[in-house]
Amino acid sequence: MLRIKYDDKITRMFLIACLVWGVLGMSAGLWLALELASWKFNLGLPYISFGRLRPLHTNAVIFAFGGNAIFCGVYYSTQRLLKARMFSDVLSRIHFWAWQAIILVGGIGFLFGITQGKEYAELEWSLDLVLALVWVVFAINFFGTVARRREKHLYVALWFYIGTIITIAVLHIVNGLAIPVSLTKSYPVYAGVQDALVQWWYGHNAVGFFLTTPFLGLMYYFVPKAAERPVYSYRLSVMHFWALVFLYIWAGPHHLHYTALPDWAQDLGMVFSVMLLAPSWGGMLNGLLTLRGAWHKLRTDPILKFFAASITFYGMATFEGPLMSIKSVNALSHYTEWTIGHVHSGAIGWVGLLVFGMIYWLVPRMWRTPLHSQALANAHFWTALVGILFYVVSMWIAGITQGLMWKEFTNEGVLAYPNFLEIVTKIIPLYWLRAFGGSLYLGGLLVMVYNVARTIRSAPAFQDEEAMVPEAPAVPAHAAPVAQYWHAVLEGRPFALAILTTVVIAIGGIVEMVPTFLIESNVPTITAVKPYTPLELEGRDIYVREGCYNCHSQMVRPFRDEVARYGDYSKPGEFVYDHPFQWGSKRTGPDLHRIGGKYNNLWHLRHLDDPRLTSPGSIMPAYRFLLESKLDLSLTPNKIRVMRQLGVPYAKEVETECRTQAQTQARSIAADLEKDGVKGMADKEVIALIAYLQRLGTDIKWRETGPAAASIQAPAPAPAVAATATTSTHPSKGAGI
Amino acid sequence: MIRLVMERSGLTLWPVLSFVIFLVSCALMLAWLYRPGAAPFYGRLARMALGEDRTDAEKEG
Ligand code: HEC
Repeated sequence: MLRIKYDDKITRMFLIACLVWGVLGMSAGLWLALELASWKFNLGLPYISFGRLRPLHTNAVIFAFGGNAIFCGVYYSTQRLLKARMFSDVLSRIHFWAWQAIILVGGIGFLFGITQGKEYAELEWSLDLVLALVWVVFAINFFGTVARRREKHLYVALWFYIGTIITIAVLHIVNGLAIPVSLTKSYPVYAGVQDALVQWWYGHNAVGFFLTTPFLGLMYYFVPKAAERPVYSYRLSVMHFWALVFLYIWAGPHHLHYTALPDWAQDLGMVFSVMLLAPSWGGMLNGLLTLRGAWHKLRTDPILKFFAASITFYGMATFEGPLMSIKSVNALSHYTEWTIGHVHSGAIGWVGLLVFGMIYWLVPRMWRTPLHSQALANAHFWTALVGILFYVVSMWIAGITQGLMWKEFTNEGVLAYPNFLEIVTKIIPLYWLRAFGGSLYLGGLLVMVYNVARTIRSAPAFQDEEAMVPEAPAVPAHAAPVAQYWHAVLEGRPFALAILTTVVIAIGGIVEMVPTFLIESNVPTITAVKPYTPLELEGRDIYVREGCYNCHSQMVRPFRDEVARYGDYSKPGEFVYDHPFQWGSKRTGPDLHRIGGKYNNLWHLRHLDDPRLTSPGSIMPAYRFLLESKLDLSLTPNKIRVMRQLGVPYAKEVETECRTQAQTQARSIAADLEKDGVKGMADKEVIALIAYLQRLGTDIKWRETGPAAASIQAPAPAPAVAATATTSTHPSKGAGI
Repeated sequence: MIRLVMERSGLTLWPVLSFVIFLVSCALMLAWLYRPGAAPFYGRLARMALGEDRTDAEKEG
C-alpha cells in the first residue's frame, strides 16, 4: 500500500473564492432588483446603470460563484475517486489565480462598458483568449490526474466532469470567434440570425454544461456521501448522462421562438427541449431516491435539507423549461419576467442550494473542525428557501401579467394597453417583492459566511488528508473479465469516453448550425438593407456598451399584438450586418426594432437625458452622461476595416472618409436639435446613439403601409451610406414582405 | 456539394436520422445495462463515492 496526500489546499482556496464571489455577485443582483423597483438606485452613475451592472451580476454568479464551486467540488472529488493527487499543484494554482484574475478584470471591464454584447458571453476577446487557456490548464490537470489514477473505473460523476470540460471548450471557442478592433473591442464573426443561433446554442448550453452537468456530477458524489447511501441506480445515472448530453445541445433555439430564425430550427429546439424532460427527471429521481432510508435525518441535518431541496428545484426547473419551450407557451412567456423566475429557480434553487449543502459538508472536513453552528445552518436553509419562493412566485406573477397585458385587445380590436409604461408600472410592486426575496437569500448566504468564518477560526493546525491506496495502477481494461469488457473499455478508457462525448455533443450543433449557415434561403437577402453609416455604427457600439439589450429586444415577432404595438414584424434579412445581433431576451422596456422614425430627435434626446421627462413613471436609467461625453471617432476607421473583413459591403473609401461622414451626419442631427433650442450636441455621444435609434428598422419601408402609419411622424432622412449596393441572390425574395 | 445534398434531401431528414440513432443507442444501452448477471457489478459502482474520508472528530465519535 502507498500513502498519498491529497491536495486539499486547492479545494479550500476555491471554496473561499466561491463564497466571496457569491456575496459580491448576489449583492449586485440585489442592487439590480432595486434598480428595477426604483430607477433612483442607478444613482446617476454610468458604471452601475442597469445595462452595465447586469452582465457583472450574471457573469459573477455563473462563472465566479458557480465556477469556483464547481472547481472546489471537482478538485475534492476527483482526487478521491481516482485515488491520486492532482496531476500538478502548479497547474492547480495557475488555474485558481488566473480564474480569479479573469473575473476581476472582466467584472471591472463590464462596469466600464467593455462587453461583446452577447448574454453570458460578454467578456471581450482578449479575456476570452485567456479564459480558453485557463480552461486548457484545467483540462490538462484533470486528464493528467485521470491518466495517473489508481482506480480503474471512472465513477459517473467524473463522466459529467468530462462532459463539462469538453463541451464548455467547444461552446466558448465557437461562440467567441471575433475579429479585434482594439484590445477591448471586437466584432463577432457571425451576424444577425446566425449570430443569434450560435449565441443561444452557447447560452442554453452554458446552462446545460456549466450549471447542470458539473453540478450533477457533484450531486452524484456529495449526495451519497452526505446520505451515506449508495446511488439509487447506477444504471439510471449512465442513461442520465448520455441522454442528457445528447439532447441538451439541441435545445438552444427555444430561446428564439417566433423570431427571424428559420422555423425548422425553432421546431427542433422545441422538440428536443421537451424530450429533455426524460433524462432530467430520471436524474432528479435518482438523486432524491438516493436519500431513501435517510429521510429521517432530514429533520436534523441541514446538509441533507439543502440537497433534497436543491434536487427538487432541479426537478421543477427542468419541468418548467420544457414547458416554456413549447411554442404556444413561449409566445406568452418569452421576453417576460417569467424567464427570470425560471432561471433563478435553477440558479439559486438547484445550483445555489446544492453548493451550500456541499460547502457545509466540506468545511468541517477541510478544516478538521466541527461546524461552528448547526442552528445557523438550519436558519440559512429556511431563509434561503423562503427567499427563493418570494423571488420565483413574484416573477411568475409579473411575467404572466406582462405577457397577458401585452397581448390584450379590446372588443373594438385595438390594444387594451397601448402604452407600454402602463404595464411596466403595474409590476413594480412585484419588483419590490422580488428584491425582498433576494435580500433574504443574500442574508442567508451572509449567515453562512459568518458560520464558515467562525469554523475556520477555531480550526486546529492540521495536515492534509492522507489515504492508503494500492501501489500499482489499476489493471488495464482488457484484463477485465469478458462480461465486463465493453463496459470497462468505455469506462476505463477516459479518452474513448471523451471522444464519444465530443461526437455526441457535436451532432446537435452541427445539424442545426450548418444548414443555417450554408443554405441561403434561410436568410433571404433584402436589397434595401444597407450597412450602418459610420455614425450609426458608433451609436450601435454605444448601445452595446450601455447594455441596452438587457432591457430591450430588437425582434418584433409575427403576432397581431406585436405588429400593432411596434410595427411590421422583423425579417431575417434585416439583420445581416448586425455584428453582434442585439435581439435581446427580455422586454423590461418596449421592443426597439421599429423605433426608427417613431419619435423625433428631440424626443430621444430628452428621453435619454431623463426618461421621466417624456415617459412619467419610467424605470429606465437616465443617460445624462451621454449628453456630456464626447464622441470618440478614433477607432472608427478600424471598425469599418474589420466590418469589411467580415463581409459588410462598405466601399473602400469609407475606411478613410468615415470620420468626416460621421461628423457630417452628426452636424445634421445637431442642426435639427438646434431648431428646437438644444445647442452644442454635434460632438456628443448621444448624437451617435440617436442616429442609430432613428435608423433601426427603417431599411424596409413599412411605415407607409404599416398599421401604425397614420400616427407616426415622418422619419428623419438617413444620410446615404457610401456603400456598394448589396446584391441579392434571391431577387424574388428581396424585400419579401 | 454539402449544400446541394442538404437542399435536395430536405432539412428534416438530418434531425430525424439523429433522433432515430439516438433512440436505437438508448435501447441498446438499456439492454446492455440490464444484461444478466451485471447487477452486483453496478451495485459496486454505485458505492464508489462512499470512500473513507470522514473527519477525525467523526471517527472518534
Ligand atoms: C432598466 C431597463 C432599461 C434599460 C437598461 C434601458 N431602457 Fe430604454 N426603456 C425602458 C423602459 C421601461 C421603457 C418604457 C418607458 C419609457 O419610455 O421610458 C424604455 C423606453 C425606451 C425607448 C422608447 C421606446 C418607445 O417605443 O417608446 C427608447 C428609444 C429606449 N428606451 C432606448 C434605450 C436605450 C438606447 C438604452 C441604452 C442606452 C435603454 N433604453 C436602456 C427600460 C430600459
